[in-house]
Amino acid sequence: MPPSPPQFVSIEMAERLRLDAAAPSDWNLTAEQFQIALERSVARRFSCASSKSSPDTMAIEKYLDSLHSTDLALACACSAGNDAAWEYFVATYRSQLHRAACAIAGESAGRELADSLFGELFGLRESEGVRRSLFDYFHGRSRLGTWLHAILAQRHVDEIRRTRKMDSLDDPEGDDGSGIAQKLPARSGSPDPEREPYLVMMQAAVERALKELEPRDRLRLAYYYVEELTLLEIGKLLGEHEATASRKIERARQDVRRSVEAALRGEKKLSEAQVQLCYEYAREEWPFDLTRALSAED
Amino acid sequence: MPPRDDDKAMDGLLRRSLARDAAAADACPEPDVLAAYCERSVDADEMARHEQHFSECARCREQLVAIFRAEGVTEISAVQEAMGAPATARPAMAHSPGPASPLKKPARPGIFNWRWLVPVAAAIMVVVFIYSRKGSHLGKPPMSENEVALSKPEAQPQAGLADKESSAQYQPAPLPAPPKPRVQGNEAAPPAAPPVGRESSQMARNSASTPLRDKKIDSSSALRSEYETRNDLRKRAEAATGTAMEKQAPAELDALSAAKRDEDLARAKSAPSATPTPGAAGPAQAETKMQGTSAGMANSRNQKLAAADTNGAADVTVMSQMVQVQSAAQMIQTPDASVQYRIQGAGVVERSKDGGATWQGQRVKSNAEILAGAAPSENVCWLVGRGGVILMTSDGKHWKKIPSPVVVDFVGVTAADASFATVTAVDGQKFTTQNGGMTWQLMK
Repeated sequence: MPPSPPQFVSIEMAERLRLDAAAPSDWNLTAEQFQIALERSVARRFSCASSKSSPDTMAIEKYLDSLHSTDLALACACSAGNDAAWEYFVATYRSQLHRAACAIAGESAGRELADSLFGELFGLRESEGVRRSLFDYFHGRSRLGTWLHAILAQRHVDEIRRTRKMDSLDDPEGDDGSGIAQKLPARSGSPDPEREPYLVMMQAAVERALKELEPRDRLRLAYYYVEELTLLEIGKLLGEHEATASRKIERARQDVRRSVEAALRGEKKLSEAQVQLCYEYAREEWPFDLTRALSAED
Repeated sequence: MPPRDDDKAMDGLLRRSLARDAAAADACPEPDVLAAYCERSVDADEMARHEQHFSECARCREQLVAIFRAEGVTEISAVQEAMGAPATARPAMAHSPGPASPLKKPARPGIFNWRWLVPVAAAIMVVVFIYSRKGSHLGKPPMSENEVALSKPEAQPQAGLADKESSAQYQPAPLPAPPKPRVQGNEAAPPAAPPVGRESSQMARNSASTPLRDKKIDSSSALRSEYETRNDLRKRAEAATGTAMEKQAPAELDALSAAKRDEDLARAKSAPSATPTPGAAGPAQAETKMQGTSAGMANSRNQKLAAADTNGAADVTVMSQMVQVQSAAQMIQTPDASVQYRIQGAGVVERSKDGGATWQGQRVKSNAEILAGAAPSENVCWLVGRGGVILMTSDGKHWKKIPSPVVVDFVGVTAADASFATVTAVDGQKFTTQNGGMTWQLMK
């Protein structure tokens, strides 16, 4: 597929950014090559936003100035098959990539993961009938190293999830987004006919309360309860202090609890004793001891 | 049912509900967006949109966690060590009774713990008291450590200096030990690896807020780095020229040598009071160095004291050189006295338009280690650093990378304007450009 004519980035702008990138001359990166990469980056960035109107020139210039132009130049040159650029890339990123892959997937699997990514970076992949280098998917919005880590992470997570999915075919606890009642295992010998309705009510109330939270609060809770990250890690991921993360998680948790109890008492007209019964059933049904789960990391 | 069980039930419910993927799988951002999100280089509305998705998408969250681990697996441990907090600190749970519950206490970073601050404050008070007593015995007002170092010229005058200057096989002295009362802090928290990126600014803020312990770690690290750099420069220059470095090294190396001589001088002067062994660095010397690099007022006071010293006409010269060199390491003066630049490290340069009263930070290049700069006018400034880094601004705001003639460490730069500049490599080679860095010529 031939590249579409440039819409956003003039050749002069591309030349200026190419000079800013200070790419060594033996990479043989031309302004035209760089223009194509910049055009692709701008198109991708602004196509995701509002498709109503094309972005204004100021926004594009600001975006272009924010790009990691040196890394983009390196990716461009590697994509074009320049030997000097590839040698520089290997010398700079190979060991870093191996370390990152080992941190993500463990020693042996990590080495394999990094090697396969390196192999793919060296070759071309076919996408929509066009042979493209994996480097063409780097748009300069982050450092090249972070982008490589993101690709490693994506591959590793997808592999884990694929394996998990195969393992959980017989697992009644598999979360597939279907109705709550179907996922409640029939508790043999349970004398209380109200057990399942109570659990359904309880979980529905929790899910509604979670939806009412701010996305960032919900993300914090998810990092904490599902990914089981430490407060320090959550704080670093969200760009805040761990004390702030701690305070906000606790506040969100209290909000959810208040909202759930209000729903059970107000809408479902449950008495205090019935609400307590809901808690008891939930605890029996999904025995998750956060204290133990978290202390298991130690 | 006690509240503890309620909490368990709520935790189980939350975990179960949050683990469910509620987001559309095809809406997951691509790795380039995830990487940009991790680096906080997406704008606010984009970030909010992505966080909405991440809060509902387990796949994306797992990827973010994996990226985070890849990026900062060493960084986390360094920060944890520096903060003295365990990795598994967890939030407070209001309804978690019982002393056995680890959820009972809110997770607080170690540096804000009053149990740490009280003994540190007491130690500071003891130090202040001891120094003030010492000053009163001499019939003088209490002096700073700088002044203490300078006020003992009669003991072994310039012995260290002469030794060091005449020795071509100079080996730098070991790093000075921190003063006794502050050693506890350093022992409690061993020096941590420097954090990078966004964390470095956070750590810098933390260290700037109160904790003496962190400040000492930073100062020691900076001092050690300076020693290593200087030693490295000296060795390379000597290997290249085969002669004493003070004679033939480039100007920047001379400047560093002057700084070294000054340290030796200060060490020689402070030796009788600090330590009986000549050449060994004492606490007062460490303080002199650390304070001298930052406190302009203390430096000017030192100059006056040195001028009043009858023994020290040469010392005055040396001391003023030291002040200039140490200032030059941080400050870049322009012809307009009201406009100044200041190198802050990790690719950050600050600019002041009011003579240093207020500063505006500018990120010139991520994690670039800037070593020197020159500003021929208020808007034009050249910076050079490790790994062939050359940067230039012609409007005082926007910095551009200049293609480097060679990939080596640059230790000096002089510039006439935005077009004409000369950079000095660590091996003494000089390159000059007359067209703003488009082309470079090696100077013979």
